[in-house]
Amino acid sequence: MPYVFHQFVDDQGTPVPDVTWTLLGPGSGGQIASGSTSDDGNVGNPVPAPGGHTIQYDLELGTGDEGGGGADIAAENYDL
Amino acid sequence: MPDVTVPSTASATPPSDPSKTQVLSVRVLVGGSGGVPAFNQGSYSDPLPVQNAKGDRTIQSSGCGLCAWASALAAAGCRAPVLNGKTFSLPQDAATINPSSLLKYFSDYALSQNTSSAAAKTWAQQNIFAGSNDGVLQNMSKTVQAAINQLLSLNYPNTTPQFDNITNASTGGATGTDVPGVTAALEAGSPVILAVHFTGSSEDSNHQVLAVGIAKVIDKTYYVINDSGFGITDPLPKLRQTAGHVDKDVLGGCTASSKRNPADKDHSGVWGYDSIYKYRALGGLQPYTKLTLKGPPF
Repeated sequence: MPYVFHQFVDDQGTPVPDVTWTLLGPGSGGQIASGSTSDDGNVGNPVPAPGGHTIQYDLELGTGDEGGGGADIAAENYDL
Repeated sequence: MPDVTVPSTASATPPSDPSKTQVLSVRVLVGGSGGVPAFNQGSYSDPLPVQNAKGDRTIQSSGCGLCAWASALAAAGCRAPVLNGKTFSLPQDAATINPSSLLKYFSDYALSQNTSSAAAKTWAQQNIFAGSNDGVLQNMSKTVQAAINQLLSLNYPNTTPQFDNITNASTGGATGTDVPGVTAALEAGSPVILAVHFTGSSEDSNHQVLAVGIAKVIDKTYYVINDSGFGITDPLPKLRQTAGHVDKDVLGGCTASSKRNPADKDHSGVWGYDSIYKYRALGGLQPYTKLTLKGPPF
C-alpha cells in the first residue's frame, strides 16, 4: 500500500500542528482523507494508488493571550 | 485554501525526510538595543490638551496613538528635552522619551513657537493636537513632523533629521491581507501606525497600534504589533518564549488578528481586530533606530 507523507513546518523547520488538510487523489481524483494534524504537523495516509496527490491545507492562528492589562479605552474614531 | 502536490511512497514506513511546506514565519524589527519599546497607556494618567465635554480625556483613555509615536521615538533613542524660555536643552541625565514626556514635549514645542501661552494653546490645537474624538496627535501634521525633527536634532546634534510621517500613508485592508505600504515600510525598518477596527464595531476604526513586524501564515499576512491598550503590549517577550520557532498561538496574540483576544467576555468571546482601516508609516527614523526585520530567535 503506498503512502502519502507530508509535513508542515515553520521557518525554523519545526513541525506545525493543527493544520487543517484535505488529501486529494491523482489528477482530478476526489477526496481520500481529511483532518487536522495533531502529531507534530505530520500527514501520513495510505492511498489506493501511486502517483502525485494533492494536499489542500489551512491554518488558523491561535487564541492568543489576554495578557498586557489593557487600558480603559473608550471607542473613538482615529483620523490618520 | 492553498495546496501542495506530494508523491506517494510504496512503503508504509514514513520516509526519514518527508516533503515539507513552510506555513508559518515571523520577522520583527530589532535594533542594537532590542526591539521597539512598548508602552501601556493605562500607566499614564496625564490629561490631554484637548478635552471632551466631561473633561476626562487622558493618555489612559485616548492615548493609544501617542503611545505608538512614543514607541518609535524611544526606539530612536530620543530622550526628553527641557524648555528654558524659548530654547530646548537636553540634560545629561534626561530619560528616554515616553508617552507622558512626549506629550509635554509637544506642549513645550508650541510654547517655543509662540509669544504667549494662550497663543501657544490655540496654535497647538490647530497644528499639533487632534480633536476630542481623534486621539492625541494630528498624525499627518507637518508641524508634528517639524517638532519630531527638532527632537531628533536635540538628541543627535550633528545630524539632519528627515522624519517623514507624510509620504507613506493610505487605507489598509482586512486582517490577514498584505498591505503593500505597510510591508514596504517595515522592510525598510520603519514602524507603522495602524488604525484598527474592533470586530463588530459600527465605527470605521477604534484604536491605534504600532506595527513592528510581519508574520506570514500560509498565504496570509499579519502584522506583529505593539498594542498599548489591549492584549499583549510588547510582542517580543512572548515571541521569545517560543524558544526559537514560530508559534501560531503566540502569533494569534501578538498580531493585529481577529483572534487577538477571544477570551474577552465583554465581547462575546469573539472580539479582536478584523481590519486595518488606515496606516501611517513613521519614516526617516531608521538612521537612529537601526531597526531591521529579523526572524527568530529574537
